[in-house]
Amino acid sequence: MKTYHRQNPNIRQQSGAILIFVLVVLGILIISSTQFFSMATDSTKISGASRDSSESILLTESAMENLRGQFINNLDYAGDVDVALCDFGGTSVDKCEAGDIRENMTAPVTFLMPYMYFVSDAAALDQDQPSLLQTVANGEGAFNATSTQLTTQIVSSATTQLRVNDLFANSFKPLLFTVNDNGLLVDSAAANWDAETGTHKAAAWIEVILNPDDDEAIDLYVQAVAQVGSSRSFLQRYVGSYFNDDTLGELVSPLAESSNINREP
Amino acid sequence: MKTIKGFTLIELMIALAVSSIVAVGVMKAYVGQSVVIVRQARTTQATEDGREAFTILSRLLKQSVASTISITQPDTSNTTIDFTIPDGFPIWPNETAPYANSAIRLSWTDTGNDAHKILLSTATSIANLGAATTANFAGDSTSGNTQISSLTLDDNADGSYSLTLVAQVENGASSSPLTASFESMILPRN
Repeated sequence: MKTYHRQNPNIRQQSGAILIFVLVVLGILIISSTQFFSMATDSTKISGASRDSSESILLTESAMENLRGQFINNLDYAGDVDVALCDFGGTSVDKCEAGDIRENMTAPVTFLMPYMYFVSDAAALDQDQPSLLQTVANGEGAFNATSTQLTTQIVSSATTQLRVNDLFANSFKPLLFTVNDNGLLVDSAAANWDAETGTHKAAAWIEVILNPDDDEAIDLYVQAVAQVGSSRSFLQRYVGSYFNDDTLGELVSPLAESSNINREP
Repeated sequence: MKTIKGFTLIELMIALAVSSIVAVGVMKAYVGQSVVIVRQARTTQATEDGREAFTILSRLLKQSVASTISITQPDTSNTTIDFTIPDGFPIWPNETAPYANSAIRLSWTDTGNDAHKILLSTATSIANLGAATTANFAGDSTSGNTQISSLTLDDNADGSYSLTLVAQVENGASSSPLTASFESMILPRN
């Protein structure tokens, strides 16, 4: 018996795209999606770094203001120029006078405030050196910076790099803070910067320099550094300039928000 | 017989599967990026608003007469700070002649209708502050706006004061608020 096969006209033969076409499209998809995810990952990392940077700036500001808030520039007609609280953390208002600070700027230096430093070439007091904060920023920013632990509150003008930890000695050290659960500063019990292992920490100190225009005057700056994760911030703020002789009228530049008292002639 | 060129069903299914995987990944990345952007924007908002309020507050307190500062902080949810600034001096908010409203009250609470705000009132004396009208100095209770989640002023033993302020912007019901903390030591000048 013969059978005849008859092509059904309704059945249409299909031919698929070649495999290589599918592979090319797949490859393009993989490459583009990989790039997209890579960019998304980078963006997330940058966001995290930005967050840490913002937090470290806030911490630096808070640490600095905790120190700067001690300055008062309180003039009175007895002839005293009170500069700041001396007995930080003490039980009474013990004010430093400008002359006290100026008179201690000769070696060997032991400032009334143990978180006070000044840069000198040892032969004479300088006013043209980079700020101590710049030196610290150089040291913290450098890879494998040479560590030079300070032995006095004088920083040699030949020093170009210092780590924050180098400012800590037994008899003098910056104010050291860490943070509590609310993100607020609390005093750190650690002995130095490196010993504080928290992810958030800050240090603040004062730099004294000679006034560039008058070697009888001193300029005071508060300086602070904070670290959040791997992000660091450095801030400096000018406090004021004071003459050696702490008599009324020899205060050069009181704080902008100066006292309201003693305005009478 | 007609020949129609096109994709086979298997090819389409493979393409659909791959596209779906990519689409889900892209969507997750997009949502993640959106969350990061919102968090950054709210953190920036809390930081800017908190810094502005804190700067004004700390300067105002620095101008206070130290012997007049009175702090009421019965718990962590309420703070009232009363003080005076020197008589007769035009210091904000005592800026209308003859500059007699030298008594100032700052109050903060985290409960009730005025939650998460700092209210300010002025009067001719501290005794009259209770009857004075209040103005919103900083913060807003509304979600999405900057709220003041904490305000404290601590009296230190050495005659100084420690001022702290925490600003926050809520980040939706399921997320913790984004905060910015500020603090300073205040040594009243007068």
